[in-house]
Amino acid sequence: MARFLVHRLGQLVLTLLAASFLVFVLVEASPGTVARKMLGPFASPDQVRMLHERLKLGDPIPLRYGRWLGVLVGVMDDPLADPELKLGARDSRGTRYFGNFGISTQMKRPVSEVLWERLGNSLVLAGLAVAVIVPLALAMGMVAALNQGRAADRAITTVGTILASVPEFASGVILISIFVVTLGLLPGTSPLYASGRWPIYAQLVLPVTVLALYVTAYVARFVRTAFIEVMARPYIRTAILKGLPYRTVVFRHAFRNAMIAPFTVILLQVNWLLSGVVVTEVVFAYPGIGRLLLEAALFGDIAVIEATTLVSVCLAATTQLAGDLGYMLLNPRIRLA
Amino acid sequence: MSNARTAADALADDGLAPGTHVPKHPIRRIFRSPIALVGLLLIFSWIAAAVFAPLIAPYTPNSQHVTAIGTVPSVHHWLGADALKRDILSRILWGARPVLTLAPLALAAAYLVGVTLGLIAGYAGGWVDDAISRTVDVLLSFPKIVIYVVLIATVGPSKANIVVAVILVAAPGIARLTRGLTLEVKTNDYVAAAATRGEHPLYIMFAEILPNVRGPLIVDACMRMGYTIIAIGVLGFLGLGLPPPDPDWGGMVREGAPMLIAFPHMALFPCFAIISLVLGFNLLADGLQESRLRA
Repeated sequence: MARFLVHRLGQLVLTLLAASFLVFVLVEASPGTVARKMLGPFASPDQVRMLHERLKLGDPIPLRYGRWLGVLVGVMDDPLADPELKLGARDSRGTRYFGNFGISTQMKRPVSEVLWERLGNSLVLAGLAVAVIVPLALAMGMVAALNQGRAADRAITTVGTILASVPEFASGVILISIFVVTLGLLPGTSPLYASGRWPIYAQLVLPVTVLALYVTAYVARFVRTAFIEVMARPYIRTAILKGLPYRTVVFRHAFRNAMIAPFTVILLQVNWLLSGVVVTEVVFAYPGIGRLLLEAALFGDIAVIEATTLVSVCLAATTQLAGDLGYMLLNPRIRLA
Repeated sequence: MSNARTAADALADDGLAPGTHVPKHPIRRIFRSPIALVGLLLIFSWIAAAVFAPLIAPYTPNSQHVTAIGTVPSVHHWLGADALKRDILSRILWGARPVLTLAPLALAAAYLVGVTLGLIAGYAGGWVDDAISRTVDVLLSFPKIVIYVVLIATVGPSKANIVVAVILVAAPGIARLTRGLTLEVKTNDYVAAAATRGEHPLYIMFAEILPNVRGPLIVDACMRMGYTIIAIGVLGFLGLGLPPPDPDWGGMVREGAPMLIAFPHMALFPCFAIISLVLGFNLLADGLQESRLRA
């Protein structure tokens, strides 16, 4: 087990390195020099050239990536934080610390100051969505599977297919039209500070619903398939024939075995959820990491793009690892390779 | 695999008496599934709308109708007009064109890349498989939206760049699926026979293995069409779609969203357009999946 964990953690670190290198190459080797992007369109050519020299942007990409990594793990100074540059940003934590993502040229603040707060907001959103998705998807999938081919199954499957066809921005627009415009029951934006008549919990209802709608249908489908498969196994037939109550058979015998496949699917949904989070945050003006990424990408705020992508890939990769581990715990038949 | 089973097995599973006619050809099987038919109907309606947009659209998509009184739906503008007083029905009909050309084109390119890599990885095995599979793992570890947003925002929104983004997002998943299917199929005798005959590995991959894994790939393609259409819509909605003024469904939702309180129709109608097209592909995928399991 320990060897397996070390192996997988090593793989995780390699994946993160590869992914961050890809993003680094993409944003730093793209048309328009990096210095121009950092200073914006109104900087003079002299200023751009000076910054270019100061940051040694002429060096080959792998070398610059190594330097970025050095700053990130806290063994090198961030060249942008040099007060001589007069970029107007001071990092209260000093110039060397682990997790130093540099300075946002758009916000004139250290990225780490903004990043974790925004990430926390997004995790609240995603966490609430998961809390809605899991029980709902399990219930829908089980009811459909136990009524296979009957009206309830047809209805759940059809609703599921329809929900899986509605992109988050569309369900956002539709829900706002109904609950905000027509009924006036909920707020249409979620800035996360108590503004006027809407408390924060009311601001969370629509974003969580939008996130849950799309993913629930998808997970329910997997639960249904897994349950149908398990219910057809001989040991279920045996349990029923030896006179156990149907409820016991379903919840004690079938449930645990049927959960193995959907469990990984649910954890893989975190990847989907992150995608949904970007769109949902834009629809509801929610201050999360998804909007941070979009704004940074549109502005060309390189340090923020690199930080947000690395954090999101890290989240996705660790949940995948957690999924694999959980899969093994749930299913003792899987031996460690 | 289905090849190993006899027709009698299939009939027994289906609960059909021997002698019941089961259409063999997958195209003909579609017509036995009402869900797939509804899906096809939705898809073909939009294809017709895209092809005949110049004939059926009441106005040109970018003309502004200053005389339009108000902007809500009316006799003159069935779905109303947008903030710039352009006819929404005409823009939706014309807007079917970019989606229905871009999504299939990009996905075809992604399949070309993904299927080729998957076949090679699955058939060759060894270090080739390792190299391809590790690359696929890294690309799959990115949340899809991150690839779309960062790539398009960096290199700029154009048709070619959207195609590249779709390849990067979809090809790894396609490669992984194809690799798995190839591993399953390549142990069959007909593959060994072809290898013994001295056929070229490329021939074995594309002429022996590929035709036998096409079923799951076709279902996967229908679902991916849905995702890709959504992704193109999302890009438009986030302001990373094709540049204005030409109509683009996602972009129309984006333009209409700030007016939602006063004029919900501006954003709602393009939303319904996207939903119905994606639903078409998802229903087709469901129907195909069902009939594939049945026959």
